Amino acid sequence: MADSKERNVSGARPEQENIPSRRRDDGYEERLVQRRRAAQKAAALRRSRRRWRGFLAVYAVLFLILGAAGCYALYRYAAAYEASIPEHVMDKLMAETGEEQWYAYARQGAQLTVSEFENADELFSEYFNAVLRGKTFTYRKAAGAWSDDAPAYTVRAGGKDLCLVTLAPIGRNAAGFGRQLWQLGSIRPAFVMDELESVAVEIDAPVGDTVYINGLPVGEKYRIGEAPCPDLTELESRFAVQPHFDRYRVDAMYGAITVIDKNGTALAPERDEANRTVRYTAPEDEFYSVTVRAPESVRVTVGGVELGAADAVKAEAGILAGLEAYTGGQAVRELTWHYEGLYTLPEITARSADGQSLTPLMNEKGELLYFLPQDEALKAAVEPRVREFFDKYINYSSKAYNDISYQALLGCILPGTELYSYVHDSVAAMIWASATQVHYDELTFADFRSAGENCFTCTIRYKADFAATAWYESYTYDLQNAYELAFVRVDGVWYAAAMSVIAG
Amino acid sequence: MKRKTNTTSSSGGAALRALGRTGAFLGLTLLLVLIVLLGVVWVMEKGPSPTMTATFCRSMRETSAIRWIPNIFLTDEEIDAMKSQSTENADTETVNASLIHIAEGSNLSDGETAADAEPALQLIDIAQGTVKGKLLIVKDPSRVILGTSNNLGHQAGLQLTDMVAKYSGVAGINAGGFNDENGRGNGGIPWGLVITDGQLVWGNGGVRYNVVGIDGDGILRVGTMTGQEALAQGVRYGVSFVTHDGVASSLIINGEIQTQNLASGVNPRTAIGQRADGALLLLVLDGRSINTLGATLENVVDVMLQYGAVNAGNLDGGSSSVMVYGGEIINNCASVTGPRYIPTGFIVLPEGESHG
Repeated sequence: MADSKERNVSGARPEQENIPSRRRDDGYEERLVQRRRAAQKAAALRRSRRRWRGFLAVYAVLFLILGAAGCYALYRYAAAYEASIPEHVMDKLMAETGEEQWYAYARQGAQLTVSEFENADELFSEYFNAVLRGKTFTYRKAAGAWSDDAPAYTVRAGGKDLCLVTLAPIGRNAAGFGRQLWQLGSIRPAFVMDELESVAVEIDAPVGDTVYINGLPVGEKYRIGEAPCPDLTELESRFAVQPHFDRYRVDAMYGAITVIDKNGTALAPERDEANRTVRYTAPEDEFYSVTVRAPESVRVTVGGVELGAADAVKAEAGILAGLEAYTGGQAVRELTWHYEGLYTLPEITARSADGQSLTPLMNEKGELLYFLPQDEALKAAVEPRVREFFDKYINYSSKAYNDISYQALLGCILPGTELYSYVHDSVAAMIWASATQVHYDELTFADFRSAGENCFTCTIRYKADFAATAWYESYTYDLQNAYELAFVRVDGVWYAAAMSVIAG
Repeated sequence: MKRKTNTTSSSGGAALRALGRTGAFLGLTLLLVLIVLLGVVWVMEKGPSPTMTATFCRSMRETSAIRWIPNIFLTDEEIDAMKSQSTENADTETVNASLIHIAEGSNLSDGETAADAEPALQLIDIAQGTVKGKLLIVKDPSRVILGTSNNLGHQAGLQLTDMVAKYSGVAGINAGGFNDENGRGNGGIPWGLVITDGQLVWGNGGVRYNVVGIDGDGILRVGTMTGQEALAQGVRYGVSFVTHDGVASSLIINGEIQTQNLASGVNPRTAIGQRADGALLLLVLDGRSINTLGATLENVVDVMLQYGAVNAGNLDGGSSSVMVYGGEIINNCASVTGPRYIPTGFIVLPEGESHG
């Protein structure tokens, strides 16, 4: 219909010819045309609006359909995403695995080389209890081991990695959208006990002593050399060859360390943080002491160290004290050296001023007494007199009191001396002495040394068996003794003037 | 003349119609987009993936301007159920300083020789799956200080580039949180606590904060403590930070992951950590871009652990996350209006200088 109208409008001439002439004026026609045009335009506009609304409706519907499809796809993807989250497998594993199982996994990975003094299982158990027991077990992505095809996680506790868990896909694209479903693949121990702090143990012990670590003796294979003795004396510090301890070393220990010495006493540790070393020192429980007495002119060495007057603890005139009238003022000063707390018994030598090696006399205290070299000519001349004195002394001192013996002995002693007084005052005691027989196993007269023209000194050493009867019983005894004696000559006769018991 | 007028009127009507139709089309399109977006949000919030829902909601709630979105389809109770079990004051563990062995007098660690020495500053590109960002390893922790804006609390903050320049630093990252109501804060008012040069310059000595700080020995201190406790621990430079959901800032303490503090969405992140040899790890992970949507706090922990962190703390993230190196921002700042103005930043001093 519209088309026919349009055709009429466009072909106006035929219609105009049918219009009555009275209506055929210009204004009417023009208005008619305008109305027709307006009507046509309005119709076109309505059609356009209808089309536009239709378009919008279709557009909206299509948009919403696409949007809904997108949301549906997102919904499906979300479901696939949730199902394919590998952490869910890990969550299940963490929930189902107890602490003891983690302990087992970790133990498998804990490769620890320990010395014979430690037990790796115990060590691991202690370490686990201290570091991991009661801690929260968690897991993290293992960055180095992770791949999209095999998600990997490190199970941790207490800041330590325990094991590496790798997941494996179930089928291909099982969750859809190219996503996988996962299952447990493998659990590989990853616990590294190298992180466990180790220390070296060094033990200094007296040579020959056995020390123990955690109850086990530290064998010779751990001995790495010598160590200086602690608190070395000043004398030993001057020795050419100083005493030493043995040093033992165990390179790596991880757990508790208990070190005891040969007596079972626990040793205190001394930590050297810088060198990651713990040191122990076993004490020396057997120290030595040395006492040496020698005339001042004798050169005494101890452990290679020559001793001087400044080192002596005592300097005295000795047995010649008070006999200056007979020695002509010649003094023989005797020095005494004393040392304690020595780790070893040092070699001791003594030489006279002229280089002769001297042999010491050891008294009952272990003191070493040196005398000047013997004057053989003097000995030959005076030994009989000394022997005579000694016989009389023994005869008096070891047998029942006898006034004849007493007087005989006094006759050999210079009156006015301490020795004379000593023998004189002994009478009251000697009346109790028993009848005794004496058998000498050893009897030596030695160390004859002149101290001026009218004085000499010597020693008498003996070892004897005595058989005695005291009142109602008999008994025997052995006696080892030594005396140092000084004799002086008065009017050509030698008299004992001083006597000192130096052993016995 | 009349005809001409009609012609003009006709063309004007057509223009109006075209304009109206365009407007209608755009309006309808916008409406449709909103409807579809609502559908998307519905799927995210009510869909079949609780993981996706939680991540989505946390991501939204961590961002000041759009934290209302989760409430479209979820009740407050449902949202609360997704929050971390962490509370701001839950952490009781403290940093064990004996686990950190800082080499003195040099930049060499124990057993390290000059030949194999690590550089004093090492910038690493982080690219692990969808996680991307920058990690700056500062060998000598004494080189790191806390920078603050001018007239803290009374004046707008500084952009990090300006803050680094203020301290003549060579690098820096943003640090503590700040008052940012609806994302319109000017970075001038810090959240919580600020300690500089051993002085509590912001915050209350008796209030507990989630502190991330560095003590006088260069040891990173993270954990919950009062201002006074932080000073007692020797914290010389410190800030505090919690997320909008109250998740505390401690990520790793003494090698142990603080799992209670890891519930998070995907967002740009800033964090600081410390290795056993004392080296500080300054980490910024990008987000809110085509390149990467962001990282969860779990991702942050993963990166920190990979690079040997023994202790680590989370700092202000989102559009605040920036790292400056060589005078320029080197990460992709997520702020659409340019780098944000912030009150605090950890600043790396030039080699040879230290806070000591």
